[in-house]
Amino acid sequence: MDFRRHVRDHLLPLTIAREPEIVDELAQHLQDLYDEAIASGTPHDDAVARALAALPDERAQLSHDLETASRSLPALIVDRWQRADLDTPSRSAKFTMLTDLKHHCHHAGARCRRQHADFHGHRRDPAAQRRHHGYRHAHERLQRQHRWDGALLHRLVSRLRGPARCSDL
Amino acid sequence: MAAHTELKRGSADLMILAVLEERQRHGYEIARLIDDRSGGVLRFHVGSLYPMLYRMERRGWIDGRWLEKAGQRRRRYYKLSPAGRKVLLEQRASWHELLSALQRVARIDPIG
Repeated sequence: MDFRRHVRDHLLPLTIAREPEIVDELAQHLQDLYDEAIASGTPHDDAVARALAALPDERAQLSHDLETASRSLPALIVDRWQRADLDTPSRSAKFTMLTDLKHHCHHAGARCRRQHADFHGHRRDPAAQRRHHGYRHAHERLQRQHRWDGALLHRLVSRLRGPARCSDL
Repeated sequence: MAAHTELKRGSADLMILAVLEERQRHGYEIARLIDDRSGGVLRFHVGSLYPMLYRMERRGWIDGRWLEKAGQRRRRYYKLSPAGRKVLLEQRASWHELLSALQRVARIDPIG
């Protein structure tokens, strides 16, 4: 007894490559039911009817379920999505966070450079010259800060441009 | 029986993983074993069993392959993967906790 034709007739055409395998497997299941019925003394026609009764009435539903199950996502992706939804900010949120940080660093660097330029401007002012001694300490402090901000900015931008960008964003 | 249907749906993964724990089995054998072990209370039909097996296979919990044994027809056998074994242990623990709590709350007599 070959149930493949029955299964194929019962299913709507599946648009997945493994359709022949699925038909074979379901037909095998019906064959087992048939063999079991025959072994218990059931006449052939009744055994066939019992086997075919295992196929659900909702043909479209069965075909749909088989297709979607065969196309369902691997666990790795599903888990990653679920974790991402539950535990971490979304991709766009992460992107916004890093973009904000980058802008913040740019603004900090620009502010530092402006302060530095202002100081040199004051040095050219005769009135400011008189306070040169006081400004000298401020100048040195600003230079240190500028170097530090510049190095920090450089590190951050390198991180954003480097491999970390791919994994972090 | 509607309650059975809902409970079965929620515990289907666990049942399938559990019957594959000992050795690899084909679809009909899985359904038969669940039917026998549950005393006919829990039954899987073609329409629910195979989509579930394919989904679990896609998730990497079970591995399916066609085997042709001597004197038998070619069949697709499923075996538990390492990831599936881990899921089985997690689900067992989770169900154990849930059933113990339910037993205490709903005053269900302990079985056996």
